[in-house]
Amino acid sequence: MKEHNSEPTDHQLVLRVQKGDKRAFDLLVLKYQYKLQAIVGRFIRDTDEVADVTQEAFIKAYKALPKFRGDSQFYTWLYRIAINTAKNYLVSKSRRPANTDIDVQDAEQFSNNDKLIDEATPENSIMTEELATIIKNALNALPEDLRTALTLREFEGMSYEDIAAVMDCPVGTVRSRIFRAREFLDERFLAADKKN
Amino acid sequence: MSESKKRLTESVSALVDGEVSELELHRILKELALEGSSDPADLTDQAIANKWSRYNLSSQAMANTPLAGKDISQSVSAAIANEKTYSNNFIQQFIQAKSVGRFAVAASVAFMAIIGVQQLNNVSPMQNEAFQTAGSAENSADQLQRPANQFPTGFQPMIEARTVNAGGAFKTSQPPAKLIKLYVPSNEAKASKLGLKSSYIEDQAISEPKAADDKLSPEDSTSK
Repeated sequence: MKEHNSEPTDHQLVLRVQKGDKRAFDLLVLKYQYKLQAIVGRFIRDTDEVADVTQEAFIKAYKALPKFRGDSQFYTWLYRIAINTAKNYLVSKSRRPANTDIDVQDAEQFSNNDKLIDEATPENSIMTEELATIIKNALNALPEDLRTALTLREFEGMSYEDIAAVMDCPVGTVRSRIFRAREFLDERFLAADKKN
Repeated sequence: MSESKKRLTESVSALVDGEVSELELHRILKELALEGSSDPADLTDQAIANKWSRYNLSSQAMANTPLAGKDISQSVSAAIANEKTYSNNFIQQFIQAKSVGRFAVAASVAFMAIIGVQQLNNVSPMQNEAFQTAGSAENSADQLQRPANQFPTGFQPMIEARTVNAGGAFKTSQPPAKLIKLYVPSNEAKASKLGLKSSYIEDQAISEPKAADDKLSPEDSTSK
């Protein structure tokens, strides 16, 4: 499966922040907050501490954003800030941080790294598993044309233009189909959330 | 959901995929600012911020990305509100300075080009004529003075185009063929314009130089 490429969006938003639009940074926080907390959660067990450290990492990232040149992907850069913030936090608490540095991909896939906390905390796994189940069921219930468009985008990482070529339809139709597919998933997500 | 809200939400979906224009992004951020001014508790599920958050969650869940924690966006946003805004940071100043520099260079080149063209236009009609006249006068003076010095004072040879061409009575700096091209056709043209025979014009040009000068072109008068 190809990784969903969110770099164009991040780049657009980062440029906006660098031009002085703080709301663009709000979007980056909304996008990455759960992902980053999952990473920080590998160093720190307490969820409140994880939230505080993640918040500090976001603030550090905002302050350092003028220096961000875009040589690496925004998320990779943000990830490193989060890891360093978590390590510094543990040092300040006289707790020994994980000695082994971890790669972004390893951290995301939660590879077996004995120095890091096992990710399978109940909260984390419930959130991830529940979401995955909701998404899987919703995808199966989608009309064929919507599912194809969303699958090509999310799993194959194809651009709207490429999807339009594959599906032999205008780019506007692809955009509309992906939107309707997302709306369908969103309704299922909200329904499950309300049930819980 | 209203049509405009639906369009905006579709833009949010496209933003998840990095497929929005700057204008669309501007509209999304504008809407986000309006939402930000209200109480976060009042935000509905249809709010742009919530839509954006859930769309990304779905996308990350599909990629099997581990997700955890709670919503900290409000606290981060509040903390950042106290931080400075990067409207006049170094990067922007550098880019702006670079743009101004480029504009200045482009403006200078355009200015120089305009001045150059103006100079050329001002000079060329007069100078061209002057150059032609001067060139012709020089040539004719060259042609006439040298042989004229060999004749006694007051002697005016009866020089006709045909005489010059055929006889080659004196050497010229220009080849005779050119003289024919410059002199004869112009007289013929004049003659045809005036409805006269070319021989009459030639006679006039020789016997009444001043009057002929008025009628003939500078080229013709100098080549006598």
